Amino acid sequence: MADGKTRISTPLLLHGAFIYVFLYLPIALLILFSFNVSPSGSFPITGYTLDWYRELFSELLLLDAFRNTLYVAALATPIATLIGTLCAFGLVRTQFRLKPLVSSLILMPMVVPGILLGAALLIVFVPILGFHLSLWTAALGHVVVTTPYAVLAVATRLYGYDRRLDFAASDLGATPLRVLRHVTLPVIMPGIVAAALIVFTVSLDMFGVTFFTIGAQGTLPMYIWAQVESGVKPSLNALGTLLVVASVATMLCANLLLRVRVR
Amino acid sequence: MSQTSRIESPVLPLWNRAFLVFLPITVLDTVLFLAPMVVMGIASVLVIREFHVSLELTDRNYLFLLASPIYLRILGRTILVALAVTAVCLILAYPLAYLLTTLPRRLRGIMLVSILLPFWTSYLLRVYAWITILGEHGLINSGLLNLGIVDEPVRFLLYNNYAIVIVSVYLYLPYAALALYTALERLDTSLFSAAMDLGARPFAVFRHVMLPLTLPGIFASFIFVFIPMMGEYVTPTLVGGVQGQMIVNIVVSQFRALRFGVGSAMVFVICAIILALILMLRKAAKLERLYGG
Repeated sequence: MADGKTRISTPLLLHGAFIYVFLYLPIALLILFSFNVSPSGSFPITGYTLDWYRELFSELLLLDAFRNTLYVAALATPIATLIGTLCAFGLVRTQFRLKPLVSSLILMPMVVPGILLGAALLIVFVPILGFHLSLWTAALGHVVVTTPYAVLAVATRLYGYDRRLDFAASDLGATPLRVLRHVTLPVIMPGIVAAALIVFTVSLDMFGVTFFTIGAQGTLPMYIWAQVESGVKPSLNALGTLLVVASVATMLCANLLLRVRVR
Repeated sequence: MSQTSRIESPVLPLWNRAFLVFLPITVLDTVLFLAPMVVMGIASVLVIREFHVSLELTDRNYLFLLASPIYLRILGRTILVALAVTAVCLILAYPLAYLLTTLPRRLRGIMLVSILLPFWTSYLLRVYAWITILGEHGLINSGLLNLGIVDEPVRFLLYNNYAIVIVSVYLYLPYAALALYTALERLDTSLFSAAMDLGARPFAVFRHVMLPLTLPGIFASFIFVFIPMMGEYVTPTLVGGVQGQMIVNIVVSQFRALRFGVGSAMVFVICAIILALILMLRKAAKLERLYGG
């Protein structure tokens, strides 16, 4: 550090390498054990098999849970994305005194532990409103928690938006609605799609708020929780591997969409 | 809100009614976030029998909590564990975030994304995977056995508070790294050179220049690590063992026993702590920076 900013010290690099190993080791093991013949989910590796993957597809409960998860995510995603997009427009394009306060308050549902919010929702839904818990009540919880993610994603995109495009279009006589439809939205669209992908991914994996707001029909995290609580099961590694692959692919797409340059 | 909003653009009179774009999120957060918190606060001083709330006032839920040293002790331990996790995250993430800022731009983006990428997925199974590392037949034990360091598997790795801290640091480190990176990235590195030209040793530069300027990142990390830790349920349940119960374990058992009164009193107390912390730290943490504007 003494001779300037360009040289990176070796201890710092080693520290960085250690952190990446620490962060990736559990996932690497999950993937490794999903192909291991031994069902104990531990070393040594006794051979390679696809049995655990085959076992997954014969689990009816799992397939149900998968369907329920998609159902909840499909309910929550459009609503959260729409509300988040509108809010992002408000935050990026208007100025008002309380904006810093409003923009941090909007993030609250993302920060407050989902399980506590779920408990609060349960108190409102069941003893007070007399609802039956179902996939719909879970979806309501998902909308609240995922909307801030959508706001952040769309806002990122909107901040990079060149307002001169709008001004140019309106100078050429476009009405505000036409500007929105033919100029702003097409340019912002990658951000909105990214927001939807992020919301969908978060919803698929949502444990916290789901825990107290879902009825008898469970989502994937509820299925996994029931399995994990009752002990080691090798097919969980296979399920985990599939989930990692799916969400890494989705998040990579979302990330690319947020970076894409529009000419 | 609507009176104070000013419109930057002459183009979109749609935003003249700027409050309209905030309407959906206001309704959403009021009905499904604020109201439940308030209602739960009210419910915690009412008598709830099984699934019905009656409008009798009671203080017995809070008296019950205050009179139970076990619950208070678990709440205290939860706060300690959450503080420990936050501290370890900061210590590990700070050099990492600094390292990222020294990398070439392209590589920086890739490394940052790869810190966050896997953390969108399968939270439960990532905690579960730690059992295969710390467990009796896990990675560490088989390593120790093979190297002949121990003769039989060591058991102190799992089912205690240390296991909770390790796994939680694993879960929340990326958030701390991101928050600190956001703060460090904005620093003008010529300040460091200036301080060193004036004779400051590297540690003095860190202590008197870098650290004060990155305080917002530290406060933001606190929000993104400490607060979720107060509600952590999966990690203590899976790797904490009997001694490692945290406050949400108690909440869950109260709700499972349909003791909604005591349960909601507990949740209300934790949420009050959390909301107070957020409001206190909000300015210092500059949360609005997250919008990347």
